Amino acid sequence: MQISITVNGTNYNLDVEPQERLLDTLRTKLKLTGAKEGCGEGECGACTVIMDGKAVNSCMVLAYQARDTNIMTIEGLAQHGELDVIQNAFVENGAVQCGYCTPGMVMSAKALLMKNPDPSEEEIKTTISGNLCRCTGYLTITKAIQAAANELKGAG
Amino acid sequence: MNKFQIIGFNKLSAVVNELQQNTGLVRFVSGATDFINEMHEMSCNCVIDVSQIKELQYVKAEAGLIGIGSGMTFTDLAAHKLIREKITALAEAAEQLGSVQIRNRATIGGNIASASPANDSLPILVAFDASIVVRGPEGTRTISAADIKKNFLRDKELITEIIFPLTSNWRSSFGKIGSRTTVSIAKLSMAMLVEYNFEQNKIISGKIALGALGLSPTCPVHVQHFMKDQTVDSAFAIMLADLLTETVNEMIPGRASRPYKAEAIKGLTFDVISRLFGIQIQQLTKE
Repeated sequence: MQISITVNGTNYNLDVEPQERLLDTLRTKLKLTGAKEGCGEGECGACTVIMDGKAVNSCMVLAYQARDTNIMTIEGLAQHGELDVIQNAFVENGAVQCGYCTPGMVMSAKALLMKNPDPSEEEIKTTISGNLCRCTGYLTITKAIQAAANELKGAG
Repeated sequence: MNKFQIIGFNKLSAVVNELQQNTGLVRFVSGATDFINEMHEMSCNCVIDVSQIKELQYVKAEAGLIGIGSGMTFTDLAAHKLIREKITALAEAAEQLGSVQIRNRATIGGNIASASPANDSLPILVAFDASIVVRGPEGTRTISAADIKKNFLRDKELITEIIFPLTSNWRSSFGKIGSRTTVSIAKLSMAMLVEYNFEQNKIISGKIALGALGLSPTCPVHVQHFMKDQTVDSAFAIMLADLLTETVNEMIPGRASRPYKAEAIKGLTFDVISRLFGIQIQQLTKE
């Protein structure tokens, strides 16, 4: 069946299968491979994207359910080759090791900062509690998100 | 892989119309956080997506009741002022359920429909004597929370509303223990509801629903009797914890998890009491 969906500001009319997940649509049909498949059951957060302003696991949303919604993926952050404040903060704070969890982590952080530009450490930890990282130990990730929030506050 | 067709509506009346005409096996999907993990094994011809029906996404208070639309997500429930004030246990359960991503999608209706023994919302419904309204091709019926168990819905029935009594002097809290602190499935859960006299620091009446001990949550009557007219202090908390340990031992005598749950329920009791009455857990455990 056909759905209309906006991804990173571009509107698409796509044919999707009933069992197709949003993650499959993004990766195979739109070739946006930033969102990763990790566990495939909503545990690891590697597939996190922002749907109508909220972080979701794209492996836990049927493509059909994303009809008429606005999706932001990691590719939508670095438009025109310019990294987002959060991406820069991850680089500067050494918050990336193998990098597999990074797109999901960054999108969870983005959803948080869009809603709450001044999060506490506790709120940051809660935000990334659905994103598993097996390299960094989370400390540098938490620091990077805090640094991004500080920079955004400074810029504001 | 099971093949099904999927259709979506943004009006409840359109869903009911479809149910009256559809002769196949129908399943509903909203948050999809359980559905996607199960869709390859489930048998159905048609899946109806109800996630975009706005009229199922509300909280309202009227005629001494609070009505919650089945399409409310756990993120929305955790943040809702009326829920935080009047059904605090539900707001607490909502903010402990899954991860941010799961809470942004999972709905209370879907959670109840799954009726898993480790379900987070059912102990609260049972403690409050809540009821749910379901809509099917032949009309509407109301089901008491006590009657909710696996596969309790009839063919083509959709949960549309959850109804809680609205009271001014009840307090409630929810706690659960799982294998990790967040994104955890309950190994043991507890919803405590008390009618409380603040001037006398006394429980007028109280109730505890225990989850993840059986197929559905239970409110042991002897615990209700014990809580009646009790003064809230450390001694009360310890006696209640001991009583609940005995209760667990009686409820799951042969189960391998019994020694763990019988001990863990003490900590869970202290956690819930300290949240509900502002008593520090250290004060409790030192005595």
